[in-house]
Amino acid sequence: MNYRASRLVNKAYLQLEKQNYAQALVLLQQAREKDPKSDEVCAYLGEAYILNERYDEAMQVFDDRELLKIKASHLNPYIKGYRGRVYLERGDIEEAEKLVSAAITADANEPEILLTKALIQVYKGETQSALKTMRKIDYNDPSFYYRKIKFLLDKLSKQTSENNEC
Amino acid sequence: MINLFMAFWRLRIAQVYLNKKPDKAIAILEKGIVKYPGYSFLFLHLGLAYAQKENWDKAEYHLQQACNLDPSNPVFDLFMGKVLIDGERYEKAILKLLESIEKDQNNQLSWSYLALAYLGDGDNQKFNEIVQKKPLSENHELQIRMILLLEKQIRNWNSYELQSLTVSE
Repeated sequence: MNYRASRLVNKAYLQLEKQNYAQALVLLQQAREKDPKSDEVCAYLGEAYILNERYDEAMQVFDDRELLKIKASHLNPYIKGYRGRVYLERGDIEEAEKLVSAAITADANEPEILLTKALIQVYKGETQSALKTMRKIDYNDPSFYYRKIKFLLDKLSKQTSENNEC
Repeated sequence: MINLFMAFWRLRIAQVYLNKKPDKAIAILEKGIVKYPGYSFLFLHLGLAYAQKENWDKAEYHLQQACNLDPSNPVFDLFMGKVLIDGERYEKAILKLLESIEKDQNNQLSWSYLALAYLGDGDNQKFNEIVQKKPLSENHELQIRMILLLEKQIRNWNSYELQSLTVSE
């Protein structure tokens, strides 16, 4: 990754920490313009699309990344996990499960990937397993629960007000 | 006194097995409740062990027995409410958690779990009312359940739909 792209990626990660997902996405799009051949930027951009719930665009970026010369192969398991998230959102639970399991087996223990696994377990009615999976997030990111609840409460309240308007 | 000590000892042995060999823990606790039918904690832990195995009927039955043996203890109601939420028995969870709150109004965790039970039951208004009045507990077990329930609620995944999907698959 070149210097300009790297600076934008760092700025984007600061925005992700603050849950400013839209702002992070803009910065990562700019980073990609600065270094279109960086597989690393593509990986981060795909993640940002996922966090912004723009799943088709995330898949497109991940597909584009595979056409590049892969230098950051350590990110491959994470991308598998994120692809799993997209399959979950599309309702293809079987494929989602395969990808997420492969990601976690390769130690891609990102909170969002573990959450995807837990959601698959909830979907399958495996409540206790889902709770166990969720407990693992604490080791990697102790503030994830708080941030996620805040995000989901905002989302639920938006969804409720939209439904009321309809 | 010796009886109480022996019941407590049996409980500790069961707890050792609970995570790795839950069936063995259940067998120890099942024998324990026959031998010491007045020791509420054996019933409580047996209920929790059945919950771990996702045998919700037996979990509910034994937790209720624990509540009956020690009706003044709000913690038993709280545990039962939490297990009922895990088993997606939200209406019963609401009643149990209201009982717990009636016995101890200051328990923040009971209020937070009550909010969760309303959320699971689809009563977003009551969920919001509690969340606005009572700050959510920072307990991680509660936060984990809240994330999963919020995700389910936002995706409109309810048990009925999930069951029918599983069957059709």
